[in-house]
Amino acid sequence: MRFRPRLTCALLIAICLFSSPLLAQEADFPSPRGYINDFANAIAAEEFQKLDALARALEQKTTAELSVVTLKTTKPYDIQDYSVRLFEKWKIGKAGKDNGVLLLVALEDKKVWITTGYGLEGAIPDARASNIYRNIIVPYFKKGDFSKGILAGSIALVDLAAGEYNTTIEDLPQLSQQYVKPVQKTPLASFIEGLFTLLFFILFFGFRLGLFSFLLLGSGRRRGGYWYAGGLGGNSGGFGGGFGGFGGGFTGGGGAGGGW
Amino acid sequence: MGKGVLILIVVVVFFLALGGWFIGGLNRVVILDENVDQSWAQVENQLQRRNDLVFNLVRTVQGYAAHERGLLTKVTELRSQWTKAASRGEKIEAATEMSGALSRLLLVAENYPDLKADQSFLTMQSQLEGTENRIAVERRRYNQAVMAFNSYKRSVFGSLFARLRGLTQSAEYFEAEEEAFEVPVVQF
Repeated sequence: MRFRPRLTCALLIAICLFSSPLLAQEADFPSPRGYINDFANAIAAEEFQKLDALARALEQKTTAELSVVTLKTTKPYDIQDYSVRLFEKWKIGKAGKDNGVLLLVALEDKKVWITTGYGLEGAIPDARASNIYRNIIVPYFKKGDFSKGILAGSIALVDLAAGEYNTTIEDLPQLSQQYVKPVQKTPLASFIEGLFTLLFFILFFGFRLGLFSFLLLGSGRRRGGYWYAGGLGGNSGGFGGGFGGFGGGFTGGGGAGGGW
Repeated sequence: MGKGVLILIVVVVFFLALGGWFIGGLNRVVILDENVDQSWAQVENQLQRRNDLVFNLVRTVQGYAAHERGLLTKVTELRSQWTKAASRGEKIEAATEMSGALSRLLLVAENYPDLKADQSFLTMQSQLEGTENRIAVERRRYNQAVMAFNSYKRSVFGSLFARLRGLTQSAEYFEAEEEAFEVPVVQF
């Protein structure tokens, strides 16, 4: 008689354990080492330090979280799918704010993807992400300069994310000057861009498509005002403290990217 | 006497545990069911967003490719079918057909150089691509929620709790035809 309850309890515990549908979690996703996870060893020390400092500064100033990941391959997933799953697992961005952004590079697949959390879809719409991918990251990658490409892309992302919070990050203008600007742009390219901008305005005012045409055509990385920033101080990334993990953010699959 | 007290304690603990487990089970069904609804709402958001895009897309394509009328009519029909769909099953059906029709429409668009060069068409195409990505994400989460609910509901005690809560219907999976969701690559 005395044994029955215990037995039943044990049984109940067993049932509770086994009936919970432990959704088959994929085991092949790495754990984060920090904001910058150079699993494929593609980032040189200098740029790595700058990236890390940048991500830390962003988190400190705005609570938004940038993560950079390099991998050899995302197989068997395609890069977009993998990005979202990794984002889900790491929970980049703060809980409730969902203000994370992930830059994922798969070197052997020759694919790069930017994934934005729900909360940053406004600051980094797909069209802008696509622009960063196409016009800032890819030109570096084509030259084989992954460190600089990743850094330049991250700078542009951080700039947009910080803009959402009406703040700037100290070294950003200078970094932007140094890495993002040089990629742009031949006279022909700026002519074409000017043409598109013109077209955009025509479209915008003509059709009043508002938001829709704004997203693609109004994008571009010239957010004025980088030029004033002459000699802002060095770029030492001396923030103390270790990486405490990401904050619990979600993504809805926003973002853009592709091959190079 | 000591023995009697012990038995009493054991019995009380047993019933407390049983009661806790019972209430937990009843709550669990509801939470899982709520989860399904919540993730469906996210899916619906994205499908709605796509539907809004489709309206503009059809208008633009019409200007360049008027004799694709059949396809355009089909898309328009599906759009209103989606709007009218009452049940989740109907919505899933309409959305799946819409995915197919849209990818065909975008494929056909390849034949019209003027259309392909149209900036607002390109904008819409890339937005559509973004929306399809989001639909895919939310759809996967929805299916996960459905799986959690359905499998709990079919477990030994889960079925009891579900019946007690009146949640006897299984939630519906949102299966996508794989090729239907392949959006043609946008070329710039």
